[in-house]
Amino acid sequence: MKTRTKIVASFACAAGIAGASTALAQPASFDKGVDASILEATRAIEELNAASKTRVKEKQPANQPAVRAAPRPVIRMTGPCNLNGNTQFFQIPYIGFCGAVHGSFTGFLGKDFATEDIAFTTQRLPAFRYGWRGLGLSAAVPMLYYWKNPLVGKTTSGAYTGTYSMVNFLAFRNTDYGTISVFINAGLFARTEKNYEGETRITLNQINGHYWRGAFDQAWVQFGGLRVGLQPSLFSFSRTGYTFMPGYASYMTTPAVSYTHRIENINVLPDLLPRLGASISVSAEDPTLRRYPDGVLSRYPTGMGYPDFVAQLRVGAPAFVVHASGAMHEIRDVSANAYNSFMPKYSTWGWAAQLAGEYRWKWSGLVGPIGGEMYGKAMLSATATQGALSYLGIPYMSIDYVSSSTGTIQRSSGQAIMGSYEHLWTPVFKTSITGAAFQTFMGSAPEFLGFGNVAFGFNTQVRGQRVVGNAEYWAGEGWAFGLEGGWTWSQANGQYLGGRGLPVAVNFPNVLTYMRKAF
Amino acid sequence: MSRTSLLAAIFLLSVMNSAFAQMATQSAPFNFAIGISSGSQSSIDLSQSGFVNVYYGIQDSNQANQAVISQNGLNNYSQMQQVGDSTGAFNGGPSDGREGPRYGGQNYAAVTQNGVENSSQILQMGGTNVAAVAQNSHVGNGSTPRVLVPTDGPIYQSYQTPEGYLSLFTTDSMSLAVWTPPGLTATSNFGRMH
Repeated sequence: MKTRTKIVASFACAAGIAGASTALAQPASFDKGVDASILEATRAIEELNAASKTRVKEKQPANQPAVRAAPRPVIRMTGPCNLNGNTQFFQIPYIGFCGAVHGSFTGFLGKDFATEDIAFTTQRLPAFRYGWRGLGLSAAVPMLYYWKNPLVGKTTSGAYTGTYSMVNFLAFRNTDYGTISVFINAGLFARTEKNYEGETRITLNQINGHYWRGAFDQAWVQFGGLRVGLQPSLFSFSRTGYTFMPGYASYMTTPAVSYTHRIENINVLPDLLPRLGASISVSAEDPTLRRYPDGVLSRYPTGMGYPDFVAQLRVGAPAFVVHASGAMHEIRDVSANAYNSFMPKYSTWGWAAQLAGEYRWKWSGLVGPIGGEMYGKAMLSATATQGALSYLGIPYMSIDYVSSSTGTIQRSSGQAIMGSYEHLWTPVFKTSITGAAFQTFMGSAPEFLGFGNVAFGFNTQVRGQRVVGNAEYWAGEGWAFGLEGGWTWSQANGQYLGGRGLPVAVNFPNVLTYMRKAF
Repeated sequence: MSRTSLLAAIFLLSVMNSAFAQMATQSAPFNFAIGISSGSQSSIDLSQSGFVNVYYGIQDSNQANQAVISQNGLNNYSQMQQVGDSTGAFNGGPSDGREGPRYGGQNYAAVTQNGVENSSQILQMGGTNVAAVAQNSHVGNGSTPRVLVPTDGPIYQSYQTPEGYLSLFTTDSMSLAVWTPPGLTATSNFGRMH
C-alpha cells in the first residue's frame, strides 16, 4: 500500500508540476487545450488518491469543492491497478503499467464583431550601402508602418464554430529505480474561419506547418524528476485566466527536457502556512515556437540554435501557489545579411521574467455565514521581456527585434499583466472575469537613408487591453454549458525621425457560447 | 576630356541661402545628382535623360521645400528628404495632450520617371506634405500609374504591381512615399488580421 501511494503521489507531482495549482482539486470548470488535459490527469490521480480518504480530505478544505463529473470508468479493470476500489486505472498487459484513458468533447459557437483592426507593415527602405560590388542601392533602412486594417468588405471576422475535443492517456509503473510516467493528450482542435474573400473554411490546428503536431497537445515520459517530450513550458503559470478567451499571459506546450526537484513540507510558519511545499525546475525548450519575427526587419535562420533556457520556482500550499519564472531566448539575425550579403550576422539574447500567483478561499471564512457555500479564487500574473515577445502571451502585434542595415540588433521590449477571478455561486454554477493589458516597444537605430544629414529611425508603441466575463453551468452527467462576452482594445503609435505620429486605435466586442461533455 | 566625363554627368546642387531655386539638366548616359539645400526656402527642378539616372536630395528648409524631378532612361532612381527643422511645439491646431516635436513648413515633391526600372522614395516631414509620383514603365502593359499622396491623416496604402511596389504612409507631420522595383522590394505584414 505504501508503495502504491508513493506511485500515485509521484504521478500527481508529475501532472501537478505542469498544471500548477490544478494539482489541487477544482470544479469541473471549462478548460481548453492544455488545461483540460492536465486537469483530467489530475482528477484521475486524485481519485486514485482516494486510497487514503483521510489524505483526500486534507487536500480539500481550502479549495472549491470538486464537482462530481460524469462517471468515467472508460475501462474497468481489476488487479494491482485497482486501488481501494478505484477503477480508473487498468493494467496494461505485458509491460506492467497502470493506465487510464479520459477525454472530453467541447463545441463552441461565437461571433466576433470586429470591423477593423490594427495591422503592421515593415519595409527596408532602399539606401546606398557598400556591398560586395561596392557602393549601391540595397534594401537597407528599417521602417515600420502601422495602420487601421478595414475588415468590412473583405472581412475575416464574423461568426465561427469549432471544437476542442481530446483524449488523454496516462500510465505509470514503479521500478526499482523510480517511477516511470507517460502522458499523452491528443485531439481535434478545429474551427471555422473566413478568409480575405469572405469564404468560410474549416481550419485544423497546426504548429510549424504540421497538422500532426497540432493534434498533439502533450506527449511526454517522466522518470523521477526528469521529463522529456512535448510538455507545458516551465515559464507558464497554470493558465491564462478562468475564462475561455485568454488574458495576456503565455501558456504553451513545447518540446522540452526538464528536471524538477520538489521540496515537501517546508516547515515554515506551520500554523499559518500548513503543508507548505516548493519546487525548483529547469528546462531546455524549443526556441522556434518562441520566435516573433516578421521576415524583413527580423529574421531567424532555419534550425534550432540554442534552446530557450527556462527556470521556475514555485511555492505553494493547498490554498495558494506563488510562481516565478525566467527564460533566456537566443536571437540570431540574418535579415540584414539576406538583403546585403556584405553585412555580418549578429546574435544576442533576449530574456523574459514572470511573477504570478493564485489564491483560493471559501467566502464564509472571510465574511461569515453570509458567504454561504460560495467559493472564490483569483490569479494574477505580471510578465516583462526584452527580445522575447512570445513570452508575453500577446497577439502577434510586435516582433522580437529590429536589425539595422548593418545587422546590429535593437531588441523590442514589453510588459503584460493579467488578473482573473472565479466565483462559485453554487456547486453547479460559477462566473468569472479576466482583465489583461500589455504594451510593447519596437524601434530602429537611426540610419542615413543616403548621404544625408538626417538619420531616419522609428519607435512604435503598441498597447492592448481586454476584459472578458464568463458564466458556466454544470448540468450533471459531465455536461457543462457556458456563455461568455469580451471586449478588446488595441492602440498603436509611432515616432519617426523624432517627429510624432498619429495614434491608431480600434476596439471590438465578441460573444461566445460553448458546451462540454467529459467522459 | 576623360572617359568618365564623357559618360557621366554629376551635379552637386548645394545652396544655403533663402528663397533659392535651382534648375539643372543632365543628359549624359549616366547621370548622378545630389541636391542639398537649406535656409528658409528651397526649390529644385531637375531633369535627367540617360541610361541610368540617379537623384538624391535633401532639403531641410524650415518654411518650404519644393522639388520637381524628371527622369527619362532605362533605370531611374530618385530619393529625397524634405525635412524642415522641428518647431518643438505645434500651435496650429487643437492640442491633444500628446508630447513630441512637430515639424513645420510646407513640402512639395513631384517625380516623373519613364524607364524600364523606376524607383522613387520621398520622405517629408512638415506641416503640409504633398507628393506626386508618376511613373511610366515600358515593361508590362505600358500603363501609367499615377498616385497622389494624401496630405493629412494616418494613412497607409500599398500597391503591388509586376513592375514594383508602391507604399504610401502619412501620419501627422510625416509622409513617406516609396516606390521600389522587385529587386529592391522588401516588405512584410503582421498583426492581428482576424
